[in-house]
Amino acid sequence: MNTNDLFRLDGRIALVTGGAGIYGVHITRALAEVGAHVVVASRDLEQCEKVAGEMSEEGLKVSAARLDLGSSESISTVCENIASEFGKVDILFNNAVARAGGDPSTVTEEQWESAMRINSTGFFLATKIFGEQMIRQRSGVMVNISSIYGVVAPNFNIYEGTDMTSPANYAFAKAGMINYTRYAASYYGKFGIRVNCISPGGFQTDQPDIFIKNYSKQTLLGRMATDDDIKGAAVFLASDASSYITGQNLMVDGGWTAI
Amino acid sequence: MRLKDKVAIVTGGGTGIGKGISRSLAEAGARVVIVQSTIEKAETAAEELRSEGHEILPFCADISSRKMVQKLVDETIEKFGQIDILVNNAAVTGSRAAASFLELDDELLERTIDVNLKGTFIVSQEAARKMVGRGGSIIHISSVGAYAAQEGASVYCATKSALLGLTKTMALELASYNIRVNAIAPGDIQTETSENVINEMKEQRISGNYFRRIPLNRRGKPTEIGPTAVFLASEDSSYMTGETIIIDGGFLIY
Repeated sequence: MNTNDLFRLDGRIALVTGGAGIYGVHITRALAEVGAHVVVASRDLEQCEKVAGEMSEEGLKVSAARLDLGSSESISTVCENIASEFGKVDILFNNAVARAGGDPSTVTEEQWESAMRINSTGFFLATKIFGEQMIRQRSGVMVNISSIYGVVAPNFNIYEGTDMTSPANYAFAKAGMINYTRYAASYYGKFGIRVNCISPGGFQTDQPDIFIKNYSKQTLLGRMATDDDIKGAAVFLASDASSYITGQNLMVDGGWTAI
Repeated sequence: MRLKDKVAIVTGGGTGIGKGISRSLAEAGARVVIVQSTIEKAETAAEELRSEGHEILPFCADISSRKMVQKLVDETIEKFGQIDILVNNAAVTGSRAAASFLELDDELLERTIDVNLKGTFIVSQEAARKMVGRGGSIIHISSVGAYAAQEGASVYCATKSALLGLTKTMALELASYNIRVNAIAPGDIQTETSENVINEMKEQRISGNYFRRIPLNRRGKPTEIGPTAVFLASEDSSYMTGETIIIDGGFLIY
């Protein structure tokens, strides 16, 4: 097949959890721009419908679903609905994350457990339930969105002068996601299902200037990630361009972890 | 097209994985200089890719020679006007690089280091100097041998590990020139070279870890490396530098 066609996703059906969020929308847009039909799903159905509506108006194929990662029933329902409407699910992006609680000085036991319910149990259940569908199909691709903080510790100095911090649970959950990517790649490989992970660096939104400056200095490229930076990696790992890649964790971090 | 108007140099770009990379870059729109140590191999590959409509310059060079590499870089600029992409794929590999650690002689030691490490170093330096001021993307082809032991491949594995250190350091030093540096580490890819190795190993009754079953339960195809080179060469990987992408069907994850 021509190399350019390998990066296309025409006819593929994708689910992006948290696909209407500030980060997820870029994944959703990337997949839809190369031809996929993307279902964006979260507990906030209204927000999902808004994003789906806006992108549909641009001619992209995007629809919305209500998904509660805290409920296996909800996950099964979304999976069944997609499978019955489209006959298959080709791509699962585990992008949703619960950022409950702060660093150890403030995070409560309840916050930690509620974060684990989504980031650990919810992630596992989505992989399991969609994995069952993909096993029946004997094909599929899963992409997990971890973080540089699943690989290295946050440098708390970069938060000085702000009220920001890096949540304790985030480090725990994101690291677990990376090795579960390997586990899943090993388990699902024989069914023709690939499982990979992306560990992005910090995404520039409306953080304080001092933080953006501190953060940027820690990267080789001297900046935080912007809207387009995740799109290439998302399409690459979701498509046949990466057909022999499985169990990998791609650092999309501007060189943060290279130094 | 992702690499429209770009110019790429691919060392060892005429055979095996390298040819797959040359073809992918060309299909994505790049003009490609194919470098081989024997001109016939470069010309044969160039002919084949030209017949598919691509713009290719075959070039014969020993990449461990600074003089020849300078000529390569100068002729690339003369012919195509610029250098945007460098893929350091040439290597002493397969049965040519095989020798047990205890028996390995100086000649093989030096030859392997000369091509795999020194050659990669020299081509990178000369090409990067031409990228200063306009930016670029440099991709080293490492190997799963950088991470996991391979019987009879001590120098090969050492040079492939060395490229990972080189990747990160070059990424650091070249970032301010808008030159990104990444690596690809292929696993077991079915090429003529690897077929020969397997046949020889089977004859010698060496099986070892190399033939273990892997998650995707198949060997890789030479066409499965090129698209990753396109990804790393293009704006698709705009926020990636100093990183290595392993393409091994899951070989290393056990």
